[in-house]
Amino acid sequence: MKYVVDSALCAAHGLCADTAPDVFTLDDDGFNAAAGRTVDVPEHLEAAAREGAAACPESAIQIQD
Amino acid sequence: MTTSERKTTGEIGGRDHFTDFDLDSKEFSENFDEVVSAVHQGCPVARSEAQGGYWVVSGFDDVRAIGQDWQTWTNTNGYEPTRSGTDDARLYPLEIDPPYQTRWRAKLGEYFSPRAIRSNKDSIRRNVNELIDQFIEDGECDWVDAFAAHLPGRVFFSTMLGVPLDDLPYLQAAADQAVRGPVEDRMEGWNKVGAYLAGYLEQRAKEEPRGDFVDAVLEGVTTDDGEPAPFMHKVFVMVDMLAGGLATTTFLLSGIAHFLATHPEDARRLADDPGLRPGAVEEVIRVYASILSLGRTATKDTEIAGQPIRKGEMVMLSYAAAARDPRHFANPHEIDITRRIPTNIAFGYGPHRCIGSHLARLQALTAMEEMLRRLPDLSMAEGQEPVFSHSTVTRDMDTLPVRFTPGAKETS
Ligand code: HEM
Repeated sequence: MKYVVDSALCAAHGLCADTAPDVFTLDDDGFNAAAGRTVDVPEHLEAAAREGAAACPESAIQIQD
Repeated sequence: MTTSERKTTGEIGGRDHFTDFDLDSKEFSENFDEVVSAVHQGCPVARSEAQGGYWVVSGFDDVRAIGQDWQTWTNTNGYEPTRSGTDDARLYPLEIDPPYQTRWRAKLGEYFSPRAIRSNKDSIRRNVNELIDQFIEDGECDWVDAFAAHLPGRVFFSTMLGVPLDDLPYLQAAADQAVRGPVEDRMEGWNKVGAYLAGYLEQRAKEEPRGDFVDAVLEGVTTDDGEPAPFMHKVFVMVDMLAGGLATTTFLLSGIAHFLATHPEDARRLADDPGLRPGAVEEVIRVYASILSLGRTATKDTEIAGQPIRKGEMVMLSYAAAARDPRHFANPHEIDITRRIPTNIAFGYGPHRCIGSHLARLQALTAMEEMLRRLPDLSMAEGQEPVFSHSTVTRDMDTLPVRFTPGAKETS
């Protein structure tokens, strides 16, 4: 599984990292550190990644199975 | 939902909006709040026989779930029932699905990020004040004609596209015709916009790259066949930006003015407390949701809220109704400037969620700031009401006659 963060949408709410701190990290300004990139998710973190993506108020994180 | 739980009829203003919904109808636009409340209560998936037949989905949770499930609900069949699905005039990335759609979003995203958009703040403020200067000595104006119809084009053409200043009046007039002109003239307006943008792309391809949004479009991405995106797709991307970004923001800017003009108490609080302004903008975006609805087509037999939907049928996601779902918002039709909304569904949900949301928000916030400063007693002109209209896709305000204490120009 991979996730993509849409940099047009990330608004630094920080809920992804609150919900799934092992998957998502924030940069110094509070934006998702992976904005604009596609990232592989290790199998044991897939459920957490889904929860973190679902928590995003801007729909900025898309999961790709 | 079973029949026994339902509000039994959707009859309002001479039409049954449960069994014979028509997004384009006067019966809907003239009774907007009432019809939205009725479908939330009695018919979350309404049937329309207009335009060859479609379904209208209004519930917040249903709209969100469909928006996120692009495998079941494709955009490739067009954004409304009358789209032919032919390939000569499309809107991208609106009318494509992941993974091609995702590649375009990844390519363009950085130019629309909050950080990138914020760098336009001074230029937006300058444009706001130049427009206000044109009417501030008069003490009255039609807000749509004098302000709201102009700011989004000025901002997009000058800051994002970097087109020569001399071309702005032509492009603005063509976009205006496409978006607000008489319905029968709109196609001609879009053709002018498309031809101009294609020519502009061709010309920029010959110039030194500026490292801007236009260069990113020109670089392009690969299609699902692994080929470089053809030139036409790049034109479709440019046209989508204007189709998606002009009329929507015009309605939002009209909504800001209508709200301030009719809620003097709130206007005073917002003048005193800048911290309340971003939340107020978010509420105006929710209640004056500019996109009435956009379509998805079922890729297989499925169901929504118990309503079976067959493969190939089109559903219209009613963002404007979902933004007023009473299950998510108390007093859904009211703007409450202290309400905190976790997700503004007016910008959609899922992979197609609005790429321009931060640009729209910044224009609205900057306009609100300058209105509170320069037009603090803005009110509706004596005895006047705004004129609303809408199409299947957009909600519009045609006129908004306002008045205010005349002030002095600030720029020359
Ligand atoms: C109040 C202002 C706006 C509202 C309410 C709004 C609403 C929306 C909605 C609901 C969608 C989702 C489409 C779908 O689900 O199929 C969308 C997509 C889009 N919007 Fe906006 N929009 C606004 C302003 C803008 C601006 C300023 C721009 C560009 C400069 C823009 C460009 C687009 C584009 C290109 C898409 C398609 C994205 C895709 O398919 O990936 N919009 N917008």
